[in-house]
Amino acid sequence: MIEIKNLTKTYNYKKSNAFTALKDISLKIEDGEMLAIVGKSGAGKSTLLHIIGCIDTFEKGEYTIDGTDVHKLSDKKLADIRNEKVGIVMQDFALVEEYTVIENVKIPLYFSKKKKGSANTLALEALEKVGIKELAKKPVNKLSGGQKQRVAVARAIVNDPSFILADEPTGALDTKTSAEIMELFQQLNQDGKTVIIITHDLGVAEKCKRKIEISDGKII
Amino acid sequence: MKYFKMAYNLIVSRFIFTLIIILEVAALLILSNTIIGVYNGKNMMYKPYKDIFENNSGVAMDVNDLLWLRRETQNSDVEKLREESGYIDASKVIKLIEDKLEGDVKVYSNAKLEFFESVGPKGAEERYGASENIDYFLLDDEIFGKLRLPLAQGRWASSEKTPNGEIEIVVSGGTDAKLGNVYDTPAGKLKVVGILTDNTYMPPGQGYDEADYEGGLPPEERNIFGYYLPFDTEVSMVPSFCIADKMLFEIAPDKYSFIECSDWFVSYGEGLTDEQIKSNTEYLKTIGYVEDKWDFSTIVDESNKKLNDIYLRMLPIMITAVVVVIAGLIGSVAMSTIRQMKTFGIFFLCGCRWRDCIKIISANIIMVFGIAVILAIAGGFAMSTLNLEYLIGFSPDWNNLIFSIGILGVMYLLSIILPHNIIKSSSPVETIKEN
Repeated sequence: MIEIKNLTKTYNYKKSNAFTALKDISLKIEDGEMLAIVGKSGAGKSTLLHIIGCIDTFEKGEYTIDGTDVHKLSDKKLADIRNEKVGIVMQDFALVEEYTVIENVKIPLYFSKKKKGSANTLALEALEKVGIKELAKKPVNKLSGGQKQRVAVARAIVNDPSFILADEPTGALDTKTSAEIMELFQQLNQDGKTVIIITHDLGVAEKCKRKIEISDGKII
Repeated sequence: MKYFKMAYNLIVSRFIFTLIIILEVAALLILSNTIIGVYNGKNMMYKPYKDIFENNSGVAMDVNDLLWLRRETQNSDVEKLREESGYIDASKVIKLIEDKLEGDVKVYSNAKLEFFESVGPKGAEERYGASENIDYFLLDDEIFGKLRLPLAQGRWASSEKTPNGEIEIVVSGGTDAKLGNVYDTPAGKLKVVGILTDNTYMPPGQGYDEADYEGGLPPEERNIFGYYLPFDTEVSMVPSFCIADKMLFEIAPDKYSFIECSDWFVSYGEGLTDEQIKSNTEYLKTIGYVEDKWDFSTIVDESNKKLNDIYLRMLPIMITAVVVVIAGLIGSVAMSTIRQMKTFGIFFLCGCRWRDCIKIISANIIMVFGIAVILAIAGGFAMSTLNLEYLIGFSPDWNNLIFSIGILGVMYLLSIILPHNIIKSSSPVETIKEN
């Protein structure tokens, strides 16, 4: 479970150009939820996702993930959370373009302490789940946008995390492909993953079980 | 190991870029080797004598035209040798002297070929108005084996004859000699296998016969390397010459009239008493003109001064080269890191720490450097196989290589500092968004 209490995030903290992106946010996300966080551009929704994904920090408030206080964790423990507990999908896919599909999917396994099987086997299993196993050896830069996003999803789930975080996952895709990707997230949610999707597309948000809206750094 | 695996993936994924860096590092290795090689080239004029001179003393001897037998020797032992074989074999004379002298002694003998007509490469001598014939320096076998002067073309001459019975020679610049030319001389067939970069690289041991023997050699003239220095204006008057291993010239009756063994010196090991030295000098005087005892440390000191002078002249070049090398390495590693920042951001997203990224970059650097070292060594040995190593002064000498690999390796590892700072000051969120 993810629990956020009175969280405030300020960029350029204590500097003259300080900007508060999140103001006193409180939020609870139960295991197995499929949540959409919606809001206009600059509302602070991506910042919230980055904090949930432990790739950004915050100044005030509390954030616990499965009972662990994230604010007190060392770099190493935060890296472990990114590696084992959350899988992150970005709008622009965040793939290493020069790698092949399977090499991209294997990246989290290099940093994983869990030994659940050979990296190749795990990566192929993840690719099978997202329906692109046959593309395993293809360079990522030869793929379509939809295929790239499937690779990103495969990489996000390869280490079997509890939470899937997606930042505008359909933002760079056409309608048909967007629908396919959303089906994929719905399937993952049915398989027991907690899915959190950041979007400004209400159509995407409608496909989630719960929806919250952020405006000017606050949940409304 | 996982860092090396990831570094390998990065290398493969950016193969062309990495290849350019590898070639750059390999080129820098060869460059640094060349700089060392150039310095060693100067040093080489001194090095063959260093072991002999460093701790010992000795005497210099001019046996004059003993081997020509134009006049009777005053030494009965040598005369006996002459009577036995009808001519005087220099190697037998050396053996005789070494047996007769007291204490730990060793005789070194350089020689010259003297021809009655012009043979072999020529040209420079005409320009300088020197004698018609080129000088043929036949070096003591031990000295020749250690000597490696920088060559513009070809390779250093062998101490063995070719299968065709030719004696290999190295020729100074400024002549019409071409690689592979064979000259049929009264002393045998001579084949040109190397051409020196510089006429001033005259082999040591040829100098003191020009000194004023009447008054003995003043200490400053006892540096037999003195006038071989490349920056010395007087050396431009040195006529063209060639060098070969004296051992290959058979001093037989039909040959000896062409060979003059005039430049000899006798090295005294440690522990010779003044009486023994005096006795030895008296004996040698029955053979030829003998300089009084030389304290070789004077020669070493003078030579070191000259070498230091060379070193100081080369220092700006070396410093410039080192700065270029450091700037090149740091720049290439920093550029490589900047280009890969998004990749590191993605790694961060997947559970990597920034310090892990530094480890990946370090592994990358080690692998790139390792490949560059292998490439440089392979290139060096390939050049050696093709007898081209002296073209750029690159000699695949292990001491040289280990030294330059060590220096460059340390510099390359230091180049991690900049990527470390780049990564440390980066925001993971921003790096992921970078294109």
